[in-house]
Amino acid sequence: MAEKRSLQVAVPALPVSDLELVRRFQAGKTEAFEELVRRYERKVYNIAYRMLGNEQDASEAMQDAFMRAFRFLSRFQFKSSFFTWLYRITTNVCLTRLRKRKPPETLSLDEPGGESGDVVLEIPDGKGSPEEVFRQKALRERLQAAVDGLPEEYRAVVVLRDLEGLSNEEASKVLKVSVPAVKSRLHRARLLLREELAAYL
Amino acid sequence: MRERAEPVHECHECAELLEWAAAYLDGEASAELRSELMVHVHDCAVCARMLRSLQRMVEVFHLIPHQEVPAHVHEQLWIAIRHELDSVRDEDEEA
Repeated sequence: MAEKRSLQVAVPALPVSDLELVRRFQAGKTEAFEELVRRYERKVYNIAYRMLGNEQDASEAMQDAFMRAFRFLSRFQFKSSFFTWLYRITTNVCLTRLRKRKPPETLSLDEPGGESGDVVLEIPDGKGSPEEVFRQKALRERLQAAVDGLPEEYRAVVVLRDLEGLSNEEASKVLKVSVPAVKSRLHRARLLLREELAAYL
Repeated sequence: MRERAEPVHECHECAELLEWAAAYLDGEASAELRSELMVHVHDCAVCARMLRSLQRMVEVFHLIPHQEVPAHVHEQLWIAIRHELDSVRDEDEEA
């Protein structure tokens, strides 16, 4: 009996699902959107930061993404989870910003090595030997720099799969491409990154 | 000068290995595939190095923690959101 009572008390305290918050928002309770922002602010910021590589751009992209989400949420049709929908808006905002950047500073698998394409992405050599530079923190910084040098589509896949920990299926929904396309882009991206980071791995 | 990576197609089976390696790194390789991969890697130093470095890179990726949203960035976001919410509420009241 005691167990049953405590269950009855616990039920109202269960966290409301994302989709329930979307339903409330669509029913006119706009404060439900604030809770969705609280839940995803950090995630969206990190996706944007990793896609764009600096705080200023990440900040603007996050704001842009949430504003778009706010305007379009009334049309959300419950065909996907809320987060894949929000991450799609976020990656689209970031990809648009990347495409506006000039000139494109990207690595390419089609033009590997060669005199002109030898160092497309500049990774500054550490002052010490590679062994001294070969530490976790340094490697993380190099990884972000190398991610910044990836072509846009590869960058989005690496950010979602390897950095945000989404599955192939989730990343395919966010990016609206097939699962095999996600796998192949991810693999090509990893090969590019590995080549760029060879000295540190 | 930093080291360049070895060309990935140095050995004939490497192209095939690349497909295997992707599944292997994502934990999607079958036991049979894994053992074929291990046999190949045992015989091919280039592929062995490549697989090790890919594996290490993916591991490091998974270890990178999420950043906190800087306070001023957080504040800017919420100012914009409250502004948006207020304008919608004002419209509702007018209606």
